[in-house]
Amino acid sequence: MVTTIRGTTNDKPTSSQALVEFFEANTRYDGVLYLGYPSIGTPEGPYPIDALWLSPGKGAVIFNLVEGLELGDFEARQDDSANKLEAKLRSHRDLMKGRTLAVALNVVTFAPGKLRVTDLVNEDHAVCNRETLPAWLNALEWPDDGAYQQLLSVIQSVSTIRKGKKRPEPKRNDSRGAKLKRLEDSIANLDNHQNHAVIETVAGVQRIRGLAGSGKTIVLALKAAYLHARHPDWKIAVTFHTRSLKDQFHELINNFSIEQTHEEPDWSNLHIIHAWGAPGGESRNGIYFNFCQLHGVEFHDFNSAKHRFGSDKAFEKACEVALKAVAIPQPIYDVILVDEAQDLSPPFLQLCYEMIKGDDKRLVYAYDELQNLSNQSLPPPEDIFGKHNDGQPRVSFAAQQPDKPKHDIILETCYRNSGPVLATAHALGFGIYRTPSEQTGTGLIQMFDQHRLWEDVGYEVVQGDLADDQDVTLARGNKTSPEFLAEHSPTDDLIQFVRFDSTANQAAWLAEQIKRNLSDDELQPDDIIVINTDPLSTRNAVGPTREALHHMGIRSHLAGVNTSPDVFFDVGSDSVTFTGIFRAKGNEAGMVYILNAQDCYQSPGQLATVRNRLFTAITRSKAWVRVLGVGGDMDRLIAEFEQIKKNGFRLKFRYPNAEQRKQLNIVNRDMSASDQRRRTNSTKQFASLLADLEAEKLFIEDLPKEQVNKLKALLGAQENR
Amino acid sequence: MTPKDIVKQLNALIGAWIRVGLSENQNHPAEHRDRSGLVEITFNGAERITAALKNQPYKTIYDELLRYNAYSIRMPDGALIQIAYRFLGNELTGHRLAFFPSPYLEDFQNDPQPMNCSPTSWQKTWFRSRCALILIAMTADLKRCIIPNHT
Repeated sequence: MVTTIRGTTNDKPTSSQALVEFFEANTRYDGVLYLGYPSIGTPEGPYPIDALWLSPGKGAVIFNLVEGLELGDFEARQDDSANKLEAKLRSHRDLMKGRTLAVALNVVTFAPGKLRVTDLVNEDHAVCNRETLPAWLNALEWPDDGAYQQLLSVIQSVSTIRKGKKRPEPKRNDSRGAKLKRLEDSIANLDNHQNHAVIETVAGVQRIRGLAGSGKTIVLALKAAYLHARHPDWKIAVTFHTRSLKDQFHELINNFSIEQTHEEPDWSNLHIIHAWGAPGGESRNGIYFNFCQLHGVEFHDFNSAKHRFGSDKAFEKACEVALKAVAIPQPIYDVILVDEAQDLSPPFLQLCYEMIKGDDKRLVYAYDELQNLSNQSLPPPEDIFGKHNDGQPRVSFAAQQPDKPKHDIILETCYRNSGPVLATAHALGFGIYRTPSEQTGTGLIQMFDQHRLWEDVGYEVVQGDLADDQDVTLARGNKTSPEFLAEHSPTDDLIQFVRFDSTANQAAWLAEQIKRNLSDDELQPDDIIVINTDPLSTRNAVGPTREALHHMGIRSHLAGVNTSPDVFFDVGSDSVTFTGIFRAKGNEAGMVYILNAQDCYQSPGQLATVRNRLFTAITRSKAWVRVLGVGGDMDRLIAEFEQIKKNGFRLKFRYPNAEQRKQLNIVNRDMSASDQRRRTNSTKQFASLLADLEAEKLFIEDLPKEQVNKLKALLGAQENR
Repeated sequence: MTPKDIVKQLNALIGAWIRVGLSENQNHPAEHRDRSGLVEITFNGAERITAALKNQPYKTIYDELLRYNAYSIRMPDGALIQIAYRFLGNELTGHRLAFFPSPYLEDFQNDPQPMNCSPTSWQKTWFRSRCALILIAMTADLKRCIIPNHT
């Protein structure tokens, strides 16, 4: 079966479609068929290929498509496209054997409209229609010698950009450094979902979802560069939330663009800009600032927005106000690609939508559905983009049609965390094996309202049903959590929980371990992140360990605010990162140490928050995690982890019904500091009231009758639930 | 006092600053000797402080030092401290104690959350770091330099 990847709109729709149908009807072929892809960089500029089929048994086959009956100078075109592709392939050493290309490369002109093609064929130049194509293809042969994977990687242009960081050649083959290197090398190809996401572009809104580590950022960068190569005159914007992403996008897009066109992108048409932005020239520009400037509405920077709307919803409200102030928005972009949409709120997406030209509204937004375990991070598109006057939603994803590019793509494979690590993070985050609490009768802390979400994030039902009040067992499959991420080390080494008697012991052990990682395990200092779970005490909590490291001659730094807004300072690879949980977001490393995990076991009024922190911290790890903590709560956390292990890293629980989920949300909701104070005070007063009543210092009759009745009614309602 | 003593003291000082959370990043002191008996105790990246930076806008100088980690200690608010000494044999002949406040201080004050501490403890941290700084400036003998503790 051939996987078809459809590039951006090309000028040969009928012949493209005929080719797709041909491969759909002939299931004995395999490999990948690209339409409208790739572009090849040449001294004369980008050279577009109509269609390219890569297959393990046949090698690379270029299709020159003929839409009508006019073949034109097809021989020259065939020679041209074959030469260009060959030149590109030849520059990759992996694809060469001595001075010959190790890939079978053929070219054919496909003219489905022509009835008689046989008399056109000469020895070097083939022309086929639907009837003659099978015979021609059958004659092709490529004794596959393992170069197919490299060929794919070269065509996807990831061979040049996915180069992991440079690390010294490990001395021992089984050291952690060597394992990490192999791990980084094996993630060299795009998988099918990523491939679709990069190349397929719809006329309309496209949504890309995936867990952290599923490759959203790389997909968006490749997509932007690809669209720019195909449509150099389009105005394209790439936008994001985390400032340090700017440099990353810039580098990825630049490299990909040079691959595809031999030229740097035309940065006046391809904008990599922050979502917010500020006055002060090109480098500080942002989508929201652009919008305000263009329409002459008031612009709020972070401070004034925070002041006016509160810090939680500052950006959301600022966008909302700006949108309301503009009656007829003026579109200026052809495409906008949004990364980290979960951090950017629906009004911002709306604002992007309004800034896109034409009826097609090519908006692509990518986000992590599970960034926040307690609820879906973004509402469905019908809710985000509002409704037409007739009540119909402006954006809605129709059911997927097989021959159309996908509107809604899920990148289901998580390449960062191994199955056991990810399942542990989820189990602890949701409280799957937590000791049931008295209040709710279950250990669960939070749960999705939509059952389907579990499958979307890559779990398979191994037993039971994903339905209210049903027992269910979920596991991660090999497809969504590839085994190679886990099999480099024994499971007991992937994730460990360690308990200490005191924080001093914890600090001393940690320093010793880091020293060993660097000296014996062949890890680099920047392969290690130490995360403290409480963001407010990090500075002091990590002091002793960092001091010990200093005296061992090992450098360490605290990840704080980047001093200059847009420049990402590379602190250098010779320093170990210590960070609080906020700064840990978006970072990843081979070895992750989590300090003071006992604080994440239980926290009145903040249970969901602290468990989410633990989840975030664990999922920073590309290979190994060490969860450290002290005291009784750490013992209980370890007991919970033992349950996860005993269940084979599967999640086994009874799905709470709607009523119970509502209760979970109330009991474990995130509370602000003042809410917490209020709760503590009320609990105290309530206790003292009860004590007084019991000691008969006070009698029910002393209390205002009306209030007593209200309390009775409330308690009654609670009972009946 | 010998160059060896100074290195030892400097290491102890930096260690103490790390312990109490006053150093975001730091460099171990480096010792350079030449044949004439000249000994310099400096920090990584010291060669970056060149005459080329003279008469440049302050922000440019600061950015440059930050980019190359050219400091002894980087404080929580982005301020950089450089400590360097020059000896001839065992005789102290020169010193350089420099302080570069961050030109981006506004950002720090406006967004204390990523500071890895609460706003109030941030104020304390800032105050402590300034006290410690004055003490360093007042004494050439680092052994006598006191690090203000948590209270």
